[in-house]
Amino acid sequence: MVIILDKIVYGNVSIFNLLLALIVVIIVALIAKGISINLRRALKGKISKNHLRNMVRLVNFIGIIFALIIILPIIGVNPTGLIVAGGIVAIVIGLATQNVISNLVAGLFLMIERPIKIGDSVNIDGTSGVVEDVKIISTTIRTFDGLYVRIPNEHVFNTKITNYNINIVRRFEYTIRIRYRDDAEKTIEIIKNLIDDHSFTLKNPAPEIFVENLGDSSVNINVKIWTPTSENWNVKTELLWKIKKVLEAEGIQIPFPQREVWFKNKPKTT
Amino acid sequence: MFELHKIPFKFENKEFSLVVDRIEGRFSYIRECNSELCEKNILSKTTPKVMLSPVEPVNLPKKLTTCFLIEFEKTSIIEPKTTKKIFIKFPMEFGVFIKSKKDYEIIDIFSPLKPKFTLYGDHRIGTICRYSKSKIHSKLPRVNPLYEGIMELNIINHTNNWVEISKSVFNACGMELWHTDKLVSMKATMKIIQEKLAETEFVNAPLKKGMKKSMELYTPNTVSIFTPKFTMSGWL
Repeated sequence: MVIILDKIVYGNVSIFNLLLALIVVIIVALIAKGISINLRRALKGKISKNHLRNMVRLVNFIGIIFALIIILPIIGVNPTGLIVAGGIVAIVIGLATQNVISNLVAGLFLMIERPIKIGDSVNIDGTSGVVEDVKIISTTIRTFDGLYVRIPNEHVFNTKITNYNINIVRRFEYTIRIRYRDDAEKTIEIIKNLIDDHSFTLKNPAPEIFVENLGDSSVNINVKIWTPTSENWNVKTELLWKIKKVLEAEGIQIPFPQREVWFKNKPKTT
Repeated sequence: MFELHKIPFKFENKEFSLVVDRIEGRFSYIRECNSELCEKNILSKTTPKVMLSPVEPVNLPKKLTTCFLIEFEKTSIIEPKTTKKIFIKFPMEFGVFIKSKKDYEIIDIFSPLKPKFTLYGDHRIGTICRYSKSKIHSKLPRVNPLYEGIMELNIINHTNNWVEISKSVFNACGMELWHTDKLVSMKATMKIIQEKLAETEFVNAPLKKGMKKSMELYTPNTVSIFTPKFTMSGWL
């Protein structure tokens, strides 16, 4: 058996060398396969299928390169020349594609950190919209008025991101102004009952309703309401007008701006 | 009330009304509850049958969550190494099913009660739950089955300390509802593992003999001998 393994096939390469090279290729292929499977599981649903497929291909490609680097010396190919040439090419490509590579690296970090995912409503450096795609180099947003915005990942990674969807609950608030002569306690009670009656205003965290300040023309009541994030917009747009109608039905009105005017000399009346 | 009915079918009381009738070549479904009207056409080759059944109370007004939380009217304190059986009430939801040949299909879900939701846990990783409040009863209380059902809850304190509990949270997957015409019930356990950690789980058994099993909308995804549990962490 040993004699067969030591048999030279060409140059200094024996059957043993060829078998070793084959084993290395198999091991690297299995490792690449394992990484691909875990990558698919981790990123499924977070990026589009096309990009996931491309990432898996990239992993397999890197695996092939790695295997080649290991087996070339084993099968008698001197990689020194290749490495030198490869190094020069890498420097040239690196200089030419600095921005692309920084966007790519930022894209990978974004996929690891996951501050945003497809479908989230976000604000990235002043651009608000829904995340349509998180690609390897850029992120695509559809603004709320339907525009397409492509943001390079380096910019996304280095800027402030506000994600409106990431938490399961959100709060919104109103300021309700009533006349000074209206009963603030009664107003608070009416608003509280209306909020309690709505299915999507949460029991906990409980809503907060209080007199916030005594304004120039009105008593200002602050209303803070928590809802499930998915229902936040609907409840916010629905509830304010209901509050207004119910208060008016109870004789509580929203005042116009007012001024009291004092005359220095009392006007003569005839 | 909770059985298979032939069409035409009509059920009416002061809480809601259901009418399923044949009109020309189709079947018409009309439900009225709390001034809300639901009308649907059922297009079927054969004449289906209709069934009204209690369902898991986590569907209305829309499917936001599969969890529901029952807050106890008064906080309770349970002795160490003790098991205590209590009865609490839960809100009712009804499903209307049609049966054609072998399968049942849900066509409507309604409830005379207005649902409410709450957050259990953290703002980021907590759970939105259907909310309900109940007194704790030592004996089986009387209920109107159109509004409330009864849960027999076995609270087991495995710890060496007195533990304060004010609520119980359940996962509707694995919920087993049983009914008669006068009572809808379920059984569950709440195992207190640590002072701020408990596990709830349903028990597949009726409260009384002769109860029939209700239709299930939420079933565990995997075939398992273990029913899904809910882990309450941080707030009991």
